[in-house]
Amino acid sequence: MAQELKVELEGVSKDAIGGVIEQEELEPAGAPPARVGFWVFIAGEVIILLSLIASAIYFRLTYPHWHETSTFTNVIISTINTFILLTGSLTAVLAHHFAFADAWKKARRFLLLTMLCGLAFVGMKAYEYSLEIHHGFYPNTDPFWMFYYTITGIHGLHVFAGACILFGVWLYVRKTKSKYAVENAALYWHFVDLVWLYIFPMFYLT
Amino acid sequence: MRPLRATDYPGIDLSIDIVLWGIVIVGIFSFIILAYGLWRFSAKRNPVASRTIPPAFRRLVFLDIAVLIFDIVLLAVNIYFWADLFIENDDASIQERAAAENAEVVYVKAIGRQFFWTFLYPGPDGQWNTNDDIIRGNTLVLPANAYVAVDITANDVLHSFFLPNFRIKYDAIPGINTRVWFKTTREGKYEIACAELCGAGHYKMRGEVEVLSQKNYQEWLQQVSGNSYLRYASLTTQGESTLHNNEQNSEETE
Amino acid sequence: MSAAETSWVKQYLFSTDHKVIGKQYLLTGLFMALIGGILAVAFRTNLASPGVLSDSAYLRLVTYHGSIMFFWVAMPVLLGGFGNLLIPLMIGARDMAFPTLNMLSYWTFVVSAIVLILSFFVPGGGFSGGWTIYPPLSAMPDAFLGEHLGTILFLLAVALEFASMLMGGVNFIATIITMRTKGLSFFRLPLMIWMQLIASVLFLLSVTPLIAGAFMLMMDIFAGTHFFTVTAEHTGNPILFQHLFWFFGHPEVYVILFPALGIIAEIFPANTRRPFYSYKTLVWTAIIAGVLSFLVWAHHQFVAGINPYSAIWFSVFTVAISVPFSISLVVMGLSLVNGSIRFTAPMVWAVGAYAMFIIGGLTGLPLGAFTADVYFHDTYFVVAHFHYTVFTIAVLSAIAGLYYWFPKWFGRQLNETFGKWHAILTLIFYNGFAFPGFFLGLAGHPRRYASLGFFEYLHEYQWVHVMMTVSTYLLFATQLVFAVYFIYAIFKGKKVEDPNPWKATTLEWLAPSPPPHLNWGNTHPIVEHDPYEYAVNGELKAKGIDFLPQGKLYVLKKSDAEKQEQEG
Repeated sequence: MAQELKVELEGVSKDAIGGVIEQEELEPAGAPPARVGFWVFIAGEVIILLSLIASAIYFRLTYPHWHETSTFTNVIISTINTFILLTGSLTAVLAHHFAFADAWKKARRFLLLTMLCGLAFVGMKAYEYSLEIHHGFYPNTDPFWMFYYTITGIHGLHVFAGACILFGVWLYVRKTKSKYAVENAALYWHFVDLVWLYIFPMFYLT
Repeated sequence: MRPLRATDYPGIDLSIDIVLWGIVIVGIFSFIILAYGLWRFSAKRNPVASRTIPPAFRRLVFLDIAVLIFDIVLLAVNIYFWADLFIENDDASIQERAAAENAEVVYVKAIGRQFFWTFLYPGPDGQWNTNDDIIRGNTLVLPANAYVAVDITANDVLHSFFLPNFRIKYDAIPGINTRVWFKTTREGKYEIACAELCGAGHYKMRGEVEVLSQKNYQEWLQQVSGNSYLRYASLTTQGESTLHNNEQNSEETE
Repeated sequence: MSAAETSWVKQYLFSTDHKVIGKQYLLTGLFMALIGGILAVAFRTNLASPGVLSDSAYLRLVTYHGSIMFFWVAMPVLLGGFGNLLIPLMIGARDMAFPTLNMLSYWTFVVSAIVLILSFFVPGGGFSGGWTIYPPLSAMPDAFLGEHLGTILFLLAVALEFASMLMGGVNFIATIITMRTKGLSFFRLPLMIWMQLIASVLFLLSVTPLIAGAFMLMMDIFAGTHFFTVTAEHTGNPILFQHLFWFFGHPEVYVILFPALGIIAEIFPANTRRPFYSYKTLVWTAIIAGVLSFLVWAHHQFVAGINPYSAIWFSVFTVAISVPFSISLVVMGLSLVNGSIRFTAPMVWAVGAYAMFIIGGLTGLPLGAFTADVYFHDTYFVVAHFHYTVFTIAVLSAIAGLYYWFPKWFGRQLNETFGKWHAILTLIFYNGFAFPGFFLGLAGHPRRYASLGFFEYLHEYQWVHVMMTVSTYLLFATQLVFAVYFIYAIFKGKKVEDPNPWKATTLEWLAPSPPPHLNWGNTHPIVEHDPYEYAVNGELKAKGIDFLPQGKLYVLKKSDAEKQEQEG
């Protein structure tokens, strides 16, 4: 017992020592830091995009030609893109499911599939932009295009970042088998997907 | 401290007086209590601390209630005058006010640009967009004992139309028209300052208000109306003239 | 590269240890404070004798002074520095939740500082449109200021700084929520930790809309959009930026105010030797004020084209904020009552900061009451008011904290007499430069004027500017002496013998001074009491001890595997 009490910390007063304790008794209960941290981060992201969307609504109220201009957007490509994102969400859920079921091979395969969905989305989006620019719609054409390019641009960057994160996690979990890495990557993907579900009606279906 | 007041409208001065006296009294009271507390409970006078506090001090919580009551009074006074100044500031309300005091109403447009003010008057006929409209640079000429309604806007960046002697201030914002009104009382020359950062010459952006007697004002009006040398349209179309000139200038200098 | 060099780099430069990162933040922040101070001295010289600086140089210095003091001094020192140094120690953790993210946060901050300094020296000069970055001035810098590159780099620096602080904020929140040691429930957290938590949440919720606004501003500059600019064909809305900016700007003040209040709330009990008067009241008033701070942003825009009806609500909420703050200040004051106040150096600083907060808080009322604000808006009254709050936060409270925790962080002591004289001189010179501002504001002196010479109604006040400038010089000189002494004391100061020199109760004083890597060695702190158990009765009192530490260190039993490892 006496040996157990040996304090390897120099410069502590004796009164400060209370006794001996098992490591297991210390485990802090509650959520893992990675999960809490990531939700906090997502909260911040949500507010950034909400502010942009709120600003767009604010402008839309005072801009009479919003509706007419919005008919020039490409509904076909964006609908395909919506399905791509939703498919990505499905594969992300499956990746998460298999990761927590310790089926890492399947989990990693679905991670890769989700990443491919992201890249497909970005590719389609780039093609869509090129069509629009070809038709002479620039960011400074009018308030609609101004917000269209800004918000879909930021969203596109998020999708691309999501694809990069998925790829990173795909590499990372090969050795570490970190469930929370998969969970957070999937969470991020769902967030990006959800944002698109607001953007899609806002710019394409009005 | 405040510059000479050139209006008999008491609203803003009254609001300032109430809030300043309030915070000075609360502040001095707090500092006296704090100083007493620090002296009374210093280690020298009170070597042993106690976990409880005497009830007399607990009554300091009433300080919060005093602050709350003060807040309510302050807000009531402020809202009353705010409604006067910025909610009931349409033409009809101002005319009503003027009629009650048998005073004249003068309508003016003020346009801020780097780094001067332009003032437009509807001229003797009282109609905008007619040939007798008056355009003046940097000097706002007004009759005494009149209600003045100023529509403020800017052509390039933000400015702020600040009349220290009339206690009035409002930002000039490109693309937006804002309305302030004030009452002139005494004749004399007063200054207009810019109170919103507008570029390097911000501190030089000085305008003048010249309050003339009713008779002199009418003479001045006859004299200047129809003599405008600037194109009226170029000033009222938002931004056009100055903004483009500025862009051209900066390109030329480069 | 030899092994020794690698370890030096890992240990001091790219360290993931929260204490090293905290010190890095602290020292970088103090270095930036020096720059901000030099700028202040330079433009105050121009105010005392106009013509020393060119018009745009004056505005540039004012802009950089404001931005640096806010984003590169107050935030890194109070959040980055104090937060990193104190959170793990005070909650009994071994490090932050995400140490690598923490390191990344610091180095992003360093890059942002470098970009900021660079932006000052690029051709055309740095940005001179005020720290509020109001468009259209900032959205069309070519047309109105002629500082294209400077503006872009300035915005980039601010964006990087926000990114860095966001990483820190996520880290703080996750750490405080998940890494508290056994027994440390939320209502046993030291007040400093509560304040850091509230500040981090406020920052996260408020800065994000501004990031959106900054993105639109960037689009205006680069892509020629018209979010905030107005031309003949396009009608943007300059007011929208002001909304986004002040939605951030007001909570931002509380982001740095709360840690400052936290510092005072730690120093008061330790030096009055009695428990904090009402711990829960302070926490709840801070939370209420934090929530209210999201509802008051347009009080910066009363005369800037907002709807006059909505202005009423903004004014009501603004004035309403005075209630939670008056309660928290009264509660702090009551904590002195029946104490046995020891006027140590940190206590003198804390009392000074507390007194200045009273002035700063009260003078907010004339600005929040909107009819009075019509006159006071954008005058020197505003300048004086926010110097009474922000200077108190970033200088008085921060230095109070430095004197208090210096022995803990550096294992050495700052001289008590020096500290007291430093406090008294600082308070005198500070009031000398800030207080006359109220009178200038009352006289209707607009801010950001390079000289008052063009206005007759201001001519008589030139001597006030001279007086304020002289005070600024003396204030700066005082801090310069402190800076030299501070650096000296880090390396050559008297070593502390007692790890708990103030006889304080919170967990960080259980650790050695300075704490080793991972803080607790083979022990672990466990919390058993409320944070401020001073003036205790019973057994301890009989022994002549008047305080009960919040917790005790428990030696960790070695697991069987570890034992075998050691033997083998």
